[in-house]
Amino acid sequence: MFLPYAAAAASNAQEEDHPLFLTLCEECRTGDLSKVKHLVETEEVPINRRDKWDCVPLYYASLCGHIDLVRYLLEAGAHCDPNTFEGERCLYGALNDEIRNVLRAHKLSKAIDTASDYALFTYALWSTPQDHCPDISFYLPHSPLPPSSSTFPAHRAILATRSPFFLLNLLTRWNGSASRRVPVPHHRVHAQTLRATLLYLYTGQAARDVPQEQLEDWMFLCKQWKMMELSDIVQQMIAAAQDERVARSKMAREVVMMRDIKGVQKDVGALLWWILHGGERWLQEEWWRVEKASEIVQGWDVARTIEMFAGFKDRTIIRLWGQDGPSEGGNAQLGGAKLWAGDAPTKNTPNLDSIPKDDIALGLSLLTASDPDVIVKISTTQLPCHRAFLKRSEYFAALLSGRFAEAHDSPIRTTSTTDPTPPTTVDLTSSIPSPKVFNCILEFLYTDRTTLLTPSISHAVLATADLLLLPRLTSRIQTYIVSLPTLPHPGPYTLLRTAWALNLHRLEQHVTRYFAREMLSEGLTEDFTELIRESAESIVGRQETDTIILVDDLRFWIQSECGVDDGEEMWEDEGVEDGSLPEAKKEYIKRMRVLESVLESLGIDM
Amino acid sequence: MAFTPSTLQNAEQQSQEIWDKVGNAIKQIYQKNASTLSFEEIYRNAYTMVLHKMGDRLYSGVKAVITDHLQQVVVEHIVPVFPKPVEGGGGPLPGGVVAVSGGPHFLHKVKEVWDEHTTCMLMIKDILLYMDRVYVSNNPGLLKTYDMGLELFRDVIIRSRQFSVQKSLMDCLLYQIQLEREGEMVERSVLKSVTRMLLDLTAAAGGVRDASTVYEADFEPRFLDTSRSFFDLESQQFLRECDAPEYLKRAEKRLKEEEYRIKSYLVESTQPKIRGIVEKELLENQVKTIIDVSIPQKPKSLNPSTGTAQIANKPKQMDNSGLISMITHERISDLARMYQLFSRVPNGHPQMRETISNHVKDLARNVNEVSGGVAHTSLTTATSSLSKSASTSSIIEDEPSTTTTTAGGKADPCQWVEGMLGLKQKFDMILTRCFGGDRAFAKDVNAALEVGVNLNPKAPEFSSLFINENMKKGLKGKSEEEMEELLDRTITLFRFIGEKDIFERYYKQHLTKRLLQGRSISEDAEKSMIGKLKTECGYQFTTKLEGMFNDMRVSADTMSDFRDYLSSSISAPQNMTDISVNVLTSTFWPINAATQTAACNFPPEISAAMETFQRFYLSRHSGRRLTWMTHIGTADLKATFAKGRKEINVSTFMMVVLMGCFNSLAEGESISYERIREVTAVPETELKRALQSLSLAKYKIILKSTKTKEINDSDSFTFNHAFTSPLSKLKIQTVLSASSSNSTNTVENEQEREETMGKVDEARKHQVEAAIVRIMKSRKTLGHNVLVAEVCSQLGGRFSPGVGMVKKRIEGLIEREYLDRDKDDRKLYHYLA
Repeated sequence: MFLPYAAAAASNAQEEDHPLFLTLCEECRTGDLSKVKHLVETEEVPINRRDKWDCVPLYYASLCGHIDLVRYLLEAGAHCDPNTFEGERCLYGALNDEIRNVLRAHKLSKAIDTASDYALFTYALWSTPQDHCPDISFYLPHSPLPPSSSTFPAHRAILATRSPFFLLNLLTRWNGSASRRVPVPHHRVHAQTLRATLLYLYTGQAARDVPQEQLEDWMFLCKQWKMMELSDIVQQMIAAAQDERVARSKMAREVVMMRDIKGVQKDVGALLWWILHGGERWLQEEWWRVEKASEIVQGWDVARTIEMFAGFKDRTIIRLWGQDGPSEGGNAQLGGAKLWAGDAPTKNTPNLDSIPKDDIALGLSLLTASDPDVIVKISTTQLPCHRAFLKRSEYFAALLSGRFAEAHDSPIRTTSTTDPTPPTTVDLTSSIPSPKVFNCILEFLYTDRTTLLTPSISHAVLATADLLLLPRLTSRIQTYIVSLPTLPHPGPYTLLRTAWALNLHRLEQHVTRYFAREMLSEGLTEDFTELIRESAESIVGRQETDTIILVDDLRFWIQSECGVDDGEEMWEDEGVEDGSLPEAKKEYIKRMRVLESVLESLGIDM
Repeated sequence: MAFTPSTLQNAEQQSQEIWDKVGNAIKQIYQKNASTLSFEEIYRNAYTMVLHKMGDRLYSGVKAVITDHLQQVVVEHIVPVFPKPVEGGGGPLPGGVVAVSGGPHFLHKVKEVWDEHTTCMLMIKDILLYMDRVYVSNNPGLLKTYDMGLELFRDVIIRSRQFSVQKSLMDCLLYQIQLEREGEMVERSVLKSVTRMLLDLTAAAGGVRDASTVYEADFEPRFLDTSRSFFDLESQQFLRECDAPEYLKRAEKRLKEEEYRIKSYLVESTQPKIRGIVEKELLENQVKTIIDVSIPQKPKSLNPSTGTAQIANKPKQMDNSGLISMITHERISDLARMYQLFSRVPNGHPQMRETISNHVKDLARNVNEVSGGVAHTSLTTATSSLSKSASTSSIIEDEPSTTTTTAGGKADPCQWVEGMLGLKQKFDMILTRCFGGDRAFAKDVNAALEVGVNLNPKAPEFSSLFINENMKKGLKGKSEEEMEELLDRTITLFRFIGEKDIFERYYKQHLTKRLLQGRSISEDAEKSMIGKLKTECGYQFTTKLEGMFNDMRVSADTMSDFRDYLSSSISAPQNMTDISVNVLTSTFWPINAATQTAACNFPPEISAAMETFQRFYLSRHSGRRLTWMTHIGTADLKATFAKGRKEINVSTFMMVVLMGCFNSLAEGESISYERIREVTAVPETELKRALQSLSLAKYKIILKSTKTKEINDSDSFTFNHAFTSPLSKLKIQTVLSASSSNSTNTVENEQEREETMGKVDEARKHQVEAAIVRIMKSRKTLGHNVLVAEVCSQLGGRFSPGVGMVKKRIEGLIEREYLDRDKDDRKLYHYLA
């Protein structure tokens, strides 16, 4: 990111004066938070770019004293490191001390790496579990602390998929409602270390706030719970605490700073795969009865469970995301067009026949251990899901609040071995067009990834994401569609209307450009005329002299397609017939005439 | 899906259908049927409307449904339970509070309606999430569903134009508070819910957050108004009903109650405001009344115990119960409460301090009058400027005649000092126990005591006499701690004395007598006292005093050396009269060698001894001059009477008379006064005193020829052989004479006092001059005023020189050419090296 300016400028040559980026800079000057939000979240305008005066948006915001905007930009990932050009400039230019403090303070919060939204989400699950439907809790019966600070609510879904030790125990010792509160009575287990261990399970992050004198005990707990990777990290920490030289070595620092959010994503991905592909069977065969799953692991010890699950998990993830796994970047936009040019048939095999029986048993047990607490029904498909993940969408948060008919009877289901009931079913057939679309949504909710997205369903997912109040997903799909070589189903007209309805600027430009390019072939269809009419009507009380946005945009793109500048319009009338004009100009004039005829037919004088 | 064009008519029909569903759902929610509604479906409908650009229709539709519902609620639930004013119920209540009946029921209903509304709004907000997110965000000025619901509640119900809900609500709340203030039980929980509700509602339209709330805009001002009148009235009532301590107790209780009320059902931000009102009405406005109602009426006697009796008989009213009375009776907890409460208001402590200060001055004046020998009339003029309280000075005017006659005569230094110290002790106790050792109070009390002490011009002398008394007698049989404590107390008194140099003079005189007459009980006590004075006033102040002690010690050493010399040296005369000499450094001791030493003819045995000592001493310290102080010193004589031998202790002059004249007389032979004078050469006054002491006092060693009480020049004397006494050792006191200083612990008479003051003035002149020279030497050039101020501040620790005195000294120094006036500016002085 911190290339010398010349190099950075070269690499950003075309982007530097991108109209949206310039708009962003403009809005940072005026301080319109909602517009900036829209630009950053929906249009994905880069926020760490410089304009031609070498200024970044954060600089403008702090210079003009918009403190809310400064906060927002920092949270959105704007760089403000004190020893860099941008950072120092922002600090120097800040209007007042309040802003300066915000800028300085952010450097600290950045130390806890919260760059990834997914990490933020799992971190929230860990830090405020009570807001996220916890279904199990650990407590220290011998702790001198009050119960509120020695009790740690957690989520079976995370624990089961992250650790074979927990998987085994959730199926045996800790299954059912009787074990919702699990005592951890050993005297070497402290509140701090238990919290740190959970943090690792949730975020793949090794906590750095465990007191040195508890490090040994922490390692003990890791070994107890068979968390070998974490145990190695703690070992390093102990070494670093004992020897300063080790502490200063690069390796030690890397270990201590380790954050493995990808690992979490991967593990949750495995769970997701089984929800998507094993969910129906799980319900059909009444796997929600715990006995069924406990039989599988009957007589296993932890070592055997670990052994059995090691390969199983990898195989599952390959089924979901292919050989590369999530390391190849979580965003569909990276190489998405290449991978998803056509619908990949292997990804969506709903039948489990090709999978070894043992794997199926393990997968369904994993589902049981994760204790799904809500079933989402879309037409005939039923998927067992977890509230903790669904509630990332405000839509689901309201739906599952228990105030309405859905989820009214049992706000939180209790698994019980004596009187088992299947989880509550929520029928979303009318809101969600197809199970495939919902799969995409689920993948995003569970893992923040969108690999299941295909061009054919992209529009449907886009609309559904908007309905479910998932702006980040909406914006990601927009990026995906824009990156596709051809406009996907349902074609330019609907896409443009969707872009208008959902206020997706980039998609709008993309489709407009398409029209500019395909002008002659699309021609004078009535649909096109209708579109222009709609665009004209979108301005309430339009005057004769007002412009029509779509027409303006079309003109811009026609010019751009034909390589014509604004100033060159004068020769338009002179040389069309004599053929003295270059091909590009002729093309330009042709297209403009088509556009004018459409306008004429609408009775609009431009 | 929705992204296809649709014909207008179709859209209209569809949107009506969809809207009906949403509107219906909201009604269902109001009927508590939410659990039967499918969230998915209603949300989808609302979503569709927004997507199809019918957001405005949805929004206004929702608003209308909610408004309708609330209208219905007002009519059906609120209006029927409106509280009714109580007819003819008691008199009007303070601050426009209306007595209403059915208040709690009404409040309950409002709370119920509010709770229902907020619960419903949460659900309505849920189903309209998409509208909030998309439509409302894109239309600035619109409120999100939930906030809109709150505003509607405010406009339709609370501030309804049709029904006076707000007025009833406020009346109810205020009446409930009034009732609670009157001691009735009220339902706090419902009050709390209602105030929370008012707090949740913004006062201004547009849903501006952080703006003032209905609570702040509508309720709080009325609450404060009614409280103000309530407490204003109540303060009047309290004043009528109870005395000051009780008043304070009630005020304290009120303050606590209001604080608790805020915590239990009002809002924290109201706390400072209501506290301010209670403090203002109950305390600040009444400070003077509470403090002043207490002036004891006509103290018949200055003895406080009589005052107690008077007060005890009084009915419980505000008379005699205020600050001064509390102090008189040492009502510790009441005083502490008053201090605490008055600390809350700006005028509280200053007023208390002023009253206490005046009271201390009054008490000090009493002490001065009773035992300070200070005439009353002179005092009145001296203090009337100090006492600001009219009532205080009126006491003095009440009975000037009685006090004047009693005062002025009996001057008892010890009683005076004890009185002053008692005052100090009492107020110290009150300070620490009631006022938390408040510095400002301590300062004022001390200042007042200082004024009181210095009103007695004899304060320095009295203090010194008090110490003298204690050094001679008082300390006998006391432990070290007791002694220390006593000394510390005297030092505190010493601090108040303005003219420390006069004290020093008296102290020196008294110390001289104690040392030379060996009357001091404990040397440790003396030293400790001097140590204390030293810490108090510095090294200079005690140099001479320490010098005096040093002289005594050196003399003792010298005497033992002298005895060694007598017993060992061959050149020493044998069988010499035993002599004991104190060699005093003339500058240390307050004895004027020139005026107080009278030469006389010593008997040969004595002069021999004196000469031997003189030789001995001068041989060891050459260059010194010894002057024999004849008027101090004693002699032990062995006298043979008819009935046996006696040892008698007499003064030097008596010894000279007895040995010089009567040793040589035959039995029965008489000697004339003239003759005695010739032989002894003792100055006439001293001689007469000596003869008086020997012939007219308790032990008549010699007999006078005439029976008169005076010694006349024509008298003649014979040795009283027949003298008898049961004691074998006699001390013959020198009789008091009108002109000589006495040995007992009494006050100087006017003449002596003038003398002393003259000496003090002389000493002061030197000190002033020295100070002027010191200052000028360092500053070289200085303006007149600055110089005077400097001098006063330098000498302030010892005495306060008058400006006139300083001026005179400056003149004197100019005459002697130490200073010079500036040629141009007459007010400027130069130092001449």
